[in-house]
Amino acid sequence: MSRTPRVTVEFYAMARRRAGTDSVLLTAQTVAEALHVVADSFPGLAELSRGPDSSSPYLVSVNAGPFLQDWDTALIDGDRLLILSADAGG
Amino acid sequence: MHGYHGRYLRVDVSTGDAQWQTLPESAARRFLGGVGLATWLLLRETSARVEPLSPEAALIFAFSPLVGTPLTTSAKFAVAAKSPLTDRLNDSLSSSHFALAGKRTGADALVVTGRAASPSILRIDDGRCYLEPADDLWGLDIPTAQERLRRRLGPNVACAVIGPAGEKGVRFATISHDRRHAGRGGLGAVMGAKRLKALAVTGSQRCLLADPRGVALAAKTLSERSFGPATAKYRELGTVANLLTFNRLNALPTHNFQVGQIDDAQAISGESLHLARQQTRESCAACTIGCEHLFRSSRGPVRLEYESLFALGPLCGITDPDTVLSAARLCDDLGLDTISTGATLAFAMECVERGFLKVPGLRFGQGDALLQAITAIGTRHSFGDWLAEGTRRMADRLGGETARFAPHVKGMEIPGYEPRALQTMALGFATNTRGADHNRSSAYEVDFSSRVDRRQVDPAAARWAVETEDKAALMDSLILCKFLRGVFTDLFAESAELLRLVTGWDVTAAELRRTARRIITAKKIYNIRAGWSPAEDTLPERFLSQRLPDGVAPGAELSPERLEALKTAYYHERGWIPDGFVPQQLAADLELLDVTSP
Repeated sequence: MSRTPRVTVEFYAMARRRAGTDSVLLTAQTVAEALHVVADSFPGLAELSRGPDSSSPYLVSVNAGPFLQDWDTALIDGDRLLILSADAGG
Repeated sequence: MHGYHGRYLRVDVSTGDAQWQTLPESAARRFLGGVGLATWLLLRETSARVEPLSPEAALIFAFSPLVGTPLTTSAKFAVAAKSPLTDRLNDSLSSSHFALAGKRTGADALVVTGRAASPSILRIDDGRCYLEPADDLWGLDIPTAQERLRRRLGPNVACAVIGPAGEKGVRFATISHDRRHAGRGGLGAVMGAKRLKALAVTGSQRCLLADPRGVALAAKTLSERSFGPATAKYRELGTVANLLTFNRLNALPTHNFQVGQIDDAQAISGESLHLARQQTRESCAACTIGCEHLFRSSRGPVRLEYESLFALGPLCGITDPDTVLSAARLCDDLGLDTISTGATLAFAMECVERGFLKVPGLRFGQGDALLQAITAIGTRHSFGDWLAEGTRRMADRLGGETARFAPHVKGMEIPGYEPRALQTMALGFATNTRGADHNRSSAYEVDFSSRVDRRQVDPAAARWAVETEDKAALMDSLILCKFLRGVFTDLFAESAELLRLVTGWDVTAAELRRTARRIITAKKIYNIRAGWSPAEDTLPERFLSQRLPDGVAPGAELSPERLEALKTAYYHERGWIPDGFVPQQLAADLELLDVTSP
């Protein structure tokens, strides 16, 4: 039986401000599972538990790849999940 | 006409002659105000072939139907002219009390031509127009000049001022008001060429609103919505929070766009600056967002945005916070556009390192040299006289392969979005009428979404790039601050309702979509008339021939073929012909025939 991947979640801009930390280490099989853990751990980021939502103020990317619409994306050991403000720019 | 005075003032500062002109309601409805109205006036009032720093060139200040209403963020104005940097149409926005006082003069716009015999202040006082001497102000930096003007004219007179850079004709000089700048494209140089140190406005004339109670109610609702999550970043962190994000995505222009990240970015991150150096937060007049974050520097307090931070920091290899903040303050004092200043210096640094240029000490990462060079540019002293011409003209003079890495489009230096890593934005840079610009094309919004893979964008993205341009054209013409855009669920429909309440026009979302397209096509028509050619809609060769190196995130390539495909899709989406020209039928369909005849 394979063990659940260990991933690092990195927070940027408003996500960092709401989390109060730069990053957190957790285990999760999918992006959605990781984001639920984040939402449970950091009340300021509770809306991440709602799933992909065009009105969400956050964007999610694995290893700085394309921003994800499909949060069922599987994670592998060592992945880095980036959560950043959807209003990057200005 | 509700929301408008129905007239604009044409002033020739060579003679002091001032004439009121009627603003037809049909023109107001087709072009709204701000950037749209200024474009219509430029097309109507001047030749597009005019030399930008000549007396014949027009400098236009345009207000808008929403200015003076209680709608949050509406205290803004547009300035437009043919740019001495790009030789194409340029418009720039600024905010606060000048917009309110300017509209109270009784004019919907001011069209300034000519050249005063000596340094002057152009005063417009409740519709009366006259020149006052400004010999004692000429040469002063912007804060000093503004303070002297405040003491001389009193607190009720709002002044738009140029610094030494505008006086000296630096091609990227700004016009400043209340620490804010109409920053891009060198409009300060146009004002300086007219020997105007300041435009001072005051008045008591107010426009009637079609539905004052409806406007008040809408303003209350909009203000409440403006406190929500869509504006939290601007309020709590400001745009400086972008720096670490962009660095992590390998999209932070660094060392003159040679790489997409910088070591020690944390030292100048928005988060670090907030902890160590934030002094206070302020708002423009009539704004509930309060995005203006002021930081401490050794030169005094300075307002800092991401664009100034990236351009005077990583782009020049600088990660010392005080150097970046001091450089931004110096630019503000002298009246220099921070993006063009930083990009010009970064280009010069690369030229020095490659042996194309000799300026002792001007190297990436050398903070003292950076600060000295900014002063040299702002006063056109020594080698600064060269740099004050901007990157395109520098590359033209230096020759060799320097044009390949001169970071501009149409002469306008590229803002803080690495085009290879943000390819919808690359399309926006290439095609925008103002040149490389993130405020008229906000195509980065597409890159920062799940709609595209930002490193391999396909032509379908052109439609969304056009949508961001259209939204920007609408907001810049109404005018509302773009930091409010996330508050709207349907910008066109909600704007139509606001405009209906102010003007009484039975305006719809569909009409405003068409208005936005009309304004953008009108700008293109101006540029074509000014000599635009399809070859201008491109990026410097560096971006099309060199892969962005891998870093903490993968690099990216943008081939010439991909950019061509994106441009073709963009022109198609705009209804332009494949090489980017505007068909006559489209001009007719967009009701632009009154401005298409030269």
